[in-house]
Amino acid sequence: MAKDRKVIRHKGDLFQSRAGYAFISPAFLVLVLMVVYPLIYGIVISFFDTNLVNKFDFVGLKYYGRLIKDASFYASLGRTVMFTFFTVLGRTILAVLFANILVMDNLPYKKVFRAILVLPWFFPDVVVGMLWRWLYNANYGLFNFILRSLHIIDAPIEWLSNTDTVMWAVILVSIWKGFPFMMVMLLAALQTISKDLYEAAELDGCGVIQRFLHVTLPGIMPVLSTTLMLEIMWCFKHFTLIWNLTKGGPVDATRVVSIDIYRTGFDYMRFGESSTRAVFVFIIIIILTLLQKKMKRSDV
Amino acid sequence: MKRRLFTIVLSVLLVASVFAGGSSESTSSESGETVLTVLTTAVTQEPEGTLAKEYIAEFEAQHPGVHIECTGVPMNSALQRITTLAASGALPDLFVNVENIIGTLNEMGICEDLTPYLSEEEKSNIVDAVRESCTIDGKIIAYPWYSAPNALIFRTDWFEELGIEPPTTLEEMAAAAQKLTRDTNGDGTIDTYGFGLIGTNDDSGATRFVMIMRSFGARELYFEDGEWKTDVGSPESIQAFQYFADLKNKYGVVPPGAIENSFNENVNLMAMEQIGMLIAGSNSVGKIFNANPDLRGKIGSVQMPSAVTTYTPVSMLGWSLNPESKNKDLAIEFVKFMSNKENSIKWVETTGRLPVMKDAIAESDYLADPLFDGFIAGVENMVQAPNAPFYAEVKTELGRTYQKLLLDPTLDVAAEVKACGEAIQNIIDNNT
Repeated sequence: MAKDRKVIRHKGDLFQSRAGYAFISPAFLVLVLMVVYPLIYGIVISFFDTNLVNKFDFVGLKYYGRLIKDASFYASLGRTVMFTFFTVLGRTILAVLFANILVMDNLPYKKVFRAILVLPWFFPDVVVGMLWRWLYNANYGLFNFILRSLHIIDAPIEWLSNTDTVMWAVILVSIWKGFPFMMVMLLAALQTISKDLYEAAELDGCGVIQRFLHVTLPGIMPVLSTTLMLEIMWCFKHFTLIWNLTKGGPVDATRVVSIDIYRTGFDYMRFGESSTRAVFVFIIIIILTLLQKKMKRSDV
Repeated sequence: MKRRLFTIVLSVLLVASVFAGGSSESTSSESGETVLTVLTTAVTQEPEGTLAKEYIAEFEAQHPGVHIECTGVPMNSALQRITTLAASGALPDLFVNVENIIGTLNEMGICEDLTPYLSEEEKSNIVDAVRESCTIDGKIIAYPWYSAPNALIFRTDWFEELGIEPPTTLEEMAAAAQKLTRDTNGDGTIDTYGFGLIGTNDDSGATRFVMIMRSFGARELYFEDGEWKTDVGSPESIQAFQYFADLKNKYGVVPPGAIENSFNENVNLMAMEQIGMLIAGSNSVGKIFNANPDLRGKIGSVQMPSAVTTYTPVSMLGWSLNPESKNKDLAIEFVKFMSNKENSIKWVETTGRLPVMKDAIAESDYLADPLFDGFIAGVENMVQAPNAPFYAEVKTELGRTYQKLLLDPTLDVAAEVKACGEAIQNIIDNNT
């Protein structure tokens, strides 16, 4: 009798597991179709000279060989690193600052400030790009108008036309657009830190900076490290804002790797070569992800 | 058992829901009407969009049971959209084609040969240069709709006020630009500039630069003796780059932000009465008048000034037919309808875009306006732009070089232009 029950239970397990597989199959199929297939397809076409329609000439590792020797690709990687580093740095500073202000108990109109500070994050990148293009415009831009009205400058500054200023102009917009996300994350983390810890630190004679270094920072570190890594990965492959502001110009001054990939593929119709670049970025992102996981494990 | 059946049915439904959705390829709707799918730039802009929709409604009224399903695409992203649609097997029956992407689209094998669909009379009615630009390897692969050839548009009232004759040479153009650059209200700041230089590294900027370079007698890309060649790096091309850079750096006749001022910004500057001359298509005049009606009667046009020759690219916009279309005859009927004499004449009167059919040009009173002199002269001398699939890349290289020279007056122009020529030669070598 007991043996029979065992058999029945096995059959039930089998049915349960089959039913489980059946239920996850739609999600699995979506995952394969939307994530795995494009990924593999992208890697495969990096070995082809293709326009994606009627030309699929196998070229092997030709584009990888060409890419390794391509100085302009390394230059675009360098610009990407610069854009990523300063954007994430700027976002982090602003996010930490505003999150610490917004977490204060005695801050008046806290909800209003919180809503205003989150606003930039709600705007689509295209809108932000167009808005700031207008603000930066040398002829009728608001910045030049204010600076000239205050007699700070005689001639308009060509923010987006000058190779010395354009990257900083783009980074500034990117910081403005992206810091609210980090701020919201840090704000949530800050709210989980017990007030007792601050009181204890204060009783121990800790000043504001010491409280920040020894209570706040360790408290937000798990969230901060994850958010930082996400920000780095997002910025590394960021496209929309830069494209809408400068299209990678002038003279390639803001041609980051995502713009390089887009132009090679969609402007010059060299999709194979474009995919080769994308595979490189994919590898970099994978390395960053592994690093982040390792960092999280060491935190634990 | 019931539970198992229920699970299986539910799973099948879930899987089916993943693939649920309609096919984009539609030749007949549920009501039995024939659907012709069309991808066009016209509906994304005004006043073109309103008039195009009027024509479509008229065509549908003349063809009961036919529905034109129109999708808009901005010109700057047409190639990308067409490529992705073709790659995914969702190309519409008809799609926009222009001379700077025609070579690329033809190479993809997505343009039906229209030659068998056109009578000899219909073929010979198309302006010769336009027909040539629509033809690759003896096959007409695009049916032209209209053209917007570039000419030099200028402020006639300012020219009269300063006693300047409309320029016929680039030297005269630079001289006129210097006179037009002035402080009109005496506040110590220049408020009108002579020339609207499009310094962006995009098709608008590069096309205008090519017009100047070809005027000096240097061709950026041409097919000769069975191979693609470039003149970039030659003394004539160096002169052209020098001239272009001098407009900003030596003569100071272009408004601030020349490198970021695209076509639209320059049209706005002309409408805001801040520039006196601009290389632009006939449709720009309509945009300027829309933005500033006071300028009506104050703008004229001359054919692109020359250094040793003059060059006006065709600037044709037309339709290509998907070889997989199930409604080819209807599609051909539709494109012929859009370009017929009456519609072409109404089109130019509303949009400023010129007809490409000889009968419409001959019978349009509107084109007799002196405003169109430069554009009409351009139509008579239009030259087909290179149809190499890698032409866009060549233009980007030109753009990169002229931006460098505009930004840094201390650069050695000859060295930069020679480096540009080598880069273009590399592009040719990599693509042939």
